[in-house]
Amino acid sequence: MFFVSVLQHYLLWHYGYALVLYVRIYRNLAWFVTEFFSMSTLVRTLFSPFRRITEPPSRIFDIAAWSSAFIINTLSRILGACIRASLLLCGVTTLSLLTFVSLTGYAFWLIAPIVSFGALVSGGYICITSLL
Amino acid sequence: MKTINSELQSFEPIIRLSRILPRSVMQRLRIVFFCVFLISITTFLATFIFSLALPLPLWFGISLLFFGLWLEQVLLYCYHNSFYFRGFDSIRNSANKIYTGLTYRAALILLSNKSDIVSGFWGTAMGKEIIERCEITPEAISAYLTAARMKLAATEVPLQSERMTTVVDIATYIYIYDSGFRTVCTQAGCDETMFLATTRFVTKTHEHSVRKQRWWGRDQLSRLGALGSALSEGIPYELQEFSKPLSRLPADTETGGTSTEQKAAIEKIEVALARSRAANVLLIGNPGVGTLGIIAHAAKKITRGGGLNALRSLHFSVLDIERLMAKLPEATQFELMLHRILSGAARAGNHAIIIPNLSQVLLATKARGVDMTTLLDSYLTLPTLHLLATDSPDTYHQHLENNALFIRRFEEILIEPASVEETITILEPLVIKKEAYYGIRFTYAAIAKIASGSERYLTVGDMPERAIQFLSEVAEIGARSNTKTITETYVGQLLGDKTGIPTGPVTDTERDQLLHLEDVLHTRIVGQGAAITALAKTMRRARVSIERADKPIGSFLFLGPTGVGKTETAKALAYVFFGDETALVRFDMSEYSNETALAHLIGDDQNSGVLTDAFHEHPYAVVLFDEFEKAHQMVHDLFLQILDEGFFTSHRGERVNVRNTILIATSNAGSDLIARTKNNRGAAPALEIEIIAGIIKAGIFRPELINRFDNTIIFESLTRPEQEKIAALLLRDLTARVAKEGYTLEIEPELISHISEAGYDEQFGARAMGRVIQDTIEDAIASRIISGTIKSGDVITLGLSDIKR
Repeated sequence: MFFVSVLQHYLLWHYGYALVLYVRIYRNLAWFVTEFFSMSTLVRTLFSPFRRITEPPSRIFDIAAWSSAFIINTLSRILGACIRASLLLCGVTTLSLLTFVSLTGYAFWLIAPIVSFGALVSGGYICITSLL
Repeated sequence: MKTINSELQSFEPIIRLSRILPRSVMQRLRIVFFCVFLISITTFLATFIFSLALPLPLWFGISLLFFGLWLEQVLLYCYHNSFYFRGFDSIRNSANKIYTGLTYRAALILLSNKSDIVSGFWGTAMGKEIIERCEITPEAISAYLTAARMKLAATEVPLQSERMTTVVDIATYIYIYDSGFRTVCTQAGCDETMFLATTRFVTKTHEHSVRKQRWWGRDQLSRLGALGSALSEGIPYELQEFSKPLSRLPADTETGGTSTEQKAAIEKIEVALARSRAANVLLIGNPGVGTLGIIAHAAKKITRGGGLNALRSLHFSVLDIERLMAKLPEATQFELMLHRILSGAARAGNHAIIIPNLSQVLLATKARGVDMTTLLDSYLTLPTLHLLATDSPDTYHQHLENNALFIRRFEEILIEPASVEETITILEPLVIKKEAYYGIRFTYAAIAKIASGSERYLTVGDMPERAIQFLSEVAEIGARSNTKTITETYVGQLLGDKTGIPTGPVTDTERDQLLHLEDVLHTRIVGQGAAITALAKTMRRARVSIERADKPIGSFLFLGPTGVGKTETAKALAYVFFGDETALVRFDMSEYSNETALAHLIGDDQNSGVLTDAFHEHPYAVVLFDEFEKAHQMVHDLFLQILDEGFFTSHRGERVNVRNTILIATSNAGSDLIARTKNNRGAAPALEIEIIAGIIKAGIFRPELINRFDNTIIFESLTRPEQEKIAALLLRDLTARVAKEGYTLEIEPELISHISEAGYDEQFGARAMGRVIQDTIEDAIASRIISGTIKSGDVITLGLSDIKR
């Protein structure tokens, strides 16, 4: 009787509150991925110089110094953009992967009790028959 | 709408299940099933691929079976988790949501015994821990549970409407509604405040460890930091070279928990750092109040995402000024490097530089010829650089306050010493660490005693640091002496050993001594019955700590003529209270009668004061101020504060604690009137008012000064029988000294009478008696020993005729 009531309670939980919790955990993990990869910062500072390495422009007019500063600063921005874009890509991929796994997991969650029960029964049956 | 019944129904299956299959077993089973599944599936695949001679269907069946078992355990674990972590959702980013209902641990208590929640409380591990930490013995609680009593049912417990109902709510309910349980607690010395504080402490500790298991919570995930934000920042190479991370604070800056005051300070720091310009903070507090600890807490909160989001990527580093100065001794080099450090950090962005003891740093650099205030000033307004500095109030007033231009760049936050309650909160997490490290357990009363005892009796540093240090000492000593449970009594004993002041519960020997304190004092003091009684009463009150804690242990004004036992009483008091006659510091106040007296006592620009030094060197002692009436008026004014508040401020602005001393001021003012009591002992109490009135009228002491003493004690002139008793007392000492040399001394009564007469003087009292004994009896004994008329083991009999001869 106790196991029946537990099973009933469990199934109600599994197809009720657990689904809400599942979404909540997914949201937490998605938040973590965006925070961990600082995705908003990366987008905002995509074209900023790499590690803020810049060459300050010369105060006097010197075409060579200006050109040098321009080239260094442009290279720094290009390098920064490349690295940030790569990291951003990693973040987006992780987030997509997380979403995919979560969706699959969500679908699996819906059938998990049946799968578990099925595996137990069929596994038990196969074991017994093969032993006999 | 949740009700207690619906909540109990909701929790019942999972709690019943966890009794059959505990959480720890569930965790192990899951791992075992998964391992067996892995082995069997590998075997199956290997058999299939390599055509091994193994029964293929059997291994397939085993794989399926254990996969099913593992999956079932995973689902069961998730099911258990969703109840186990109930109430933890409300930690972060859900401030607007209201979570109600029971927490898992509260439900566990209620469902342990639905018809008797006290029994259920005792039946859970958490309830047991609470009871043990309350110093309630298992025998006492078992006896209560087996006795006939009124029982509280789980269904009667009210649910909180705006928050989760926790173990603390259940404990409160039990304490209020179960009078029998309340009596058990009070008999164990645990009142409501202590019981609920203990419950809060235990609950908080459990929650802390449980929260760590909930890795998917935002609070736990945010601990991992951020990878991308570093890419948008520069690298301050110079700062990295001359700084250390905040995590590497000196070992003595244990941070502990955060009190309400500290939380408020942390919030102020956050707000100040979030300003667009001049986002700098100066924390002002005495050494020991934990200014650096507060910065460490703020940094931890900010970097873990618990603070304002805009500050999350801030990097905190402590400027290693000593290393900088050692490496760059030349002023120009030093200035240049400091510029590079600051500009590098500003360019890199998101850096907060911490400079502890700002005034001292500024003074040290000034001595090298570097004006660091001007140098820093240009960087203090930058939005990309933050400076966090600490300073003590004294040095701040001396060196920084007058530099308004520099100081306006900082948000000043004054950190007051923590109160006893705040200190307990700060100690709590540290207690858990010490318990885990030393394998001991503190009762909550012991923690409270550490906090209150440190505040009351320890003088070095400020709160909470001195309590933190004392906690470490207690833990260390407790572990070494194999004490498993640190109780309030144990802490009291250690405090007594450390300070010399008996602070724990009164022991049997001590009780006997205290109850017969008058007799103990009378073994050394002859006569002065009224004085001794008044003293004994005050000391008994002081021992049980019912006197104000913000005053000296006792303060007395001894009035009476010279040589009647005032100093001897002070010595006896030092012996009785501190267990050592040498715990007596003596000041001749006639030396402090001119205008430089105050500077001499509390110090000046060149020297520290003698009074300051005395209290630093002897924080637990009897301090005797002889001829107090001769001290300068300014000195009397100083004593108004000392007697009233138990501290004074030295010339350097340092607070000197005198709360663990017994202060005795002696004076022979009013001796003429006191002399009248010689032949009329009963008149002394009536004369006391007249004597004090006379002293005030003569302008010797002001009434406010006399009133600040705990007691004014009149020492009467000695009568003839009292003089003889003193002579006998002194001769008893001499007899003991002579006995040590191997002789027996016998003195005839006539000689004692002669000595008491010769050794007493109306003006100097019995002061000359010692000298008379020396000149007469000691000389006579010495002559006999040297002349060889007596040998070791002989009896020396001295009478009046021997002395006259």
